[in-house]
Amino acid sequence: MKKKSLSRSNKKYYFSTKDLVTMAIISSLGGVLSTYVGYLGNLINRFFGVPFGAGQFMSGLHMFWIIFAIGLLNKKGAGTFVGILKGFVEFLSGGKLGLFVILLSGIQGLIADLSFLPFKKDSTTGYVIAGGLSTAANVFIFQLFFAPYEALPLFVTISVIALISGVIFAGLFPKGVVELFKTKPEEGDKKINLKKGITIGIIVIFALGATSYYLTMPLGREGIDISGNVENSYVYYPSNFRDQEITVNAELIGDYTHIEAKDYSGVPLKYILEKSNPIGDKITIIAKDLYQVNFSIEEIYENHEIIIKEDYGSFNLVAKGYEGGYWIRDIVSIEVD
Amino acid sequence: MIKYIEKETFLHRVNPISKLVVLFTFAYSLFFFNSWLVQILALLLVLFLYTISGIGVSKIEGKKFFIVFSLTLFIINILFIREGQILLNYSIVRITMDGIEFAIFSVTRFLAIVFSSFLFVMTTEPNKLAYSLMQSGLPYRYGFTLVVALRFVPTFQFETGNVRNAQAARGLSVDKMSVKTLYKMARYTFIPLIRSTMQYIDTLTVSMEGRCFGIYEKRTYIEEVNYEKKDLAILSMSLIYIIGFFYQRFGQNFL
Repeated sequence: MKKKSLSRSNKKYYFSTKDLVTMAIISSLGGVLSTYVGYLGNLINRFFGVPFGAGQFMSGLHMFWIIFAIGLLNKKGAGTFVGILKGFVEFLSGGKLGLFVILLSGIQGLIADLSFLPFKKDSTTGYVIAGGLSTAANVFIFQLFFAPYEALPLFVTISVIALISGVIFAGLFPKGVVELFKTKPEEGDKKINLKKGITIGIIVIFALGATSYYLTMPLGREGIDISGNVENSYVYYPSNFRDQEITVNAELIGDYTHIEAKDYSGVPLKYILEKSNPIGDKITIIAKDLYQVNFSIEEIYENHEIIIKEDYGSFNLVAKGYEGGYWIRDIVSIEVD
Repeated sequence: MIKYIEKETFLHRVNPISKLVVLFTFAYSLFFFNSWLVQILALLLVLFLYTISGIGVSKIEGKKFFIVFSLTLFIINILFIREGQILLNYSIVRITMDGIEFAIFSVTRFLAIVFSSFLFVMTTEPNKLAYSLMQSGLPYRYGFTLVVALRFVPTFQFETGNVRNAQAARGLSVDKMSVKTLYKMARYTFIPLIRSTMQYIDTLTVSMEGRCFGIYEKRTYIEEVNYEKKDLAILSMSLIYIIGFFYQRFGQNFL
């Protein structure tokens, strides 16, 4: 009985608990990082030798959080909500615009929400337009209330700088980050609502889509991007290299971590690189948290015992004979220089 | 960072909602007064309130920013407003009385709004504000987002510090000022932080749903934020001020 009433209760809210927590935490982080954005803006001002104005080039980063929340949640009103909440956080943290920041941030969020309306949820154009317009709006709103840019050429220049910043930092940047972090729904979450009349045709489309997806991408596996100075950029999937797997016995000796010698099975990095026909002579292995290590191609080719091991969908490097710092975890890409 | 300073003064004891209403009323009405004299008086009033709140103007942080910003705003307005009685006309520079008045007007209005906001922050406990908003009718699910957002501010400040220290340790350089460098700097800072926030989101959501957050439409509070006589008086005065202000400003032609 209780369960029934709980499920009914959850359905009645437009924003679920997770949506609210997501918006709260994104707003909090956005509020905290507004100081950092200000710092970056000041760096630019100092670089150009002006007291303010050029820093508008970083203003897109203030909007990043709002656009990121819209992209992540894909719900109308999320931008306005995050805008107001972020404004409150900045206001209560002693932001330099005082009470005004709530209004500014709220209006920017509203503009972002409205700008997204005509576009599909993952449309790059939507991100670019929403990011650009909402960031440029800050100059207009600020001018409306405080009139800092009385000269028209100055006002237009600052607006254009903000617009460009918005396109880059509040459009393209959050689009990339949303793609990086958006969790794909699990199979169990995909509900087919027959009452709303899903037709056999749509099911067929789903089936065809799923078939083509699984034919082109190994089931349930993520890959590693091999790119850079290579003849053949590709995505490494371990299932394509099963017959080349080897087992090495290695000991991890790090500054803090020590793992006794044991067997690791995986694909030698040499084979993975060979498939891309590298032209460069150095590789950078990059992890999900942007940690990276470098090797020369020569040492990889000479050493068959540097392998990439798959652990439940993440890829870890077993670098026998190297310090613990080289045993990089959660590899997402390998770039050849 | 400007934050709540615990004291036992009149301003500290006023209900946060009453204070917020006064702040909104004050800031909003400043935009409708075109006299620079009124803006100066408003700024002086705010500075006077700092004194009676026992906080003092010295607690305002970022003085350098306000001085530079105000001076720049002042100079730009003086140089670009060329109408009015000419006080100085030298080469392309023309300083007029209107320019000076508008410059004073812009700067004092900006400072009055920002400093009054700071005073609000320094005399109001953030969580008390959030709970007051909820007890005044804001749905508690939304009010709770403010509590959560404020709760995580110190955590994210700490984590941001960690990320920046890590960048410094790895020698991330900003010597070459280019779009690519700035983009990378933002990326290297934002992505690790977002990754860590995702973990907080999952943990907190599970925890809140496990406690059936949102199952009831109303909630109870351990501590009630009450309205005392002074709060009601402040709210009534604000209301009268707003009605009078609107009548004086816009209503005379309609009544």
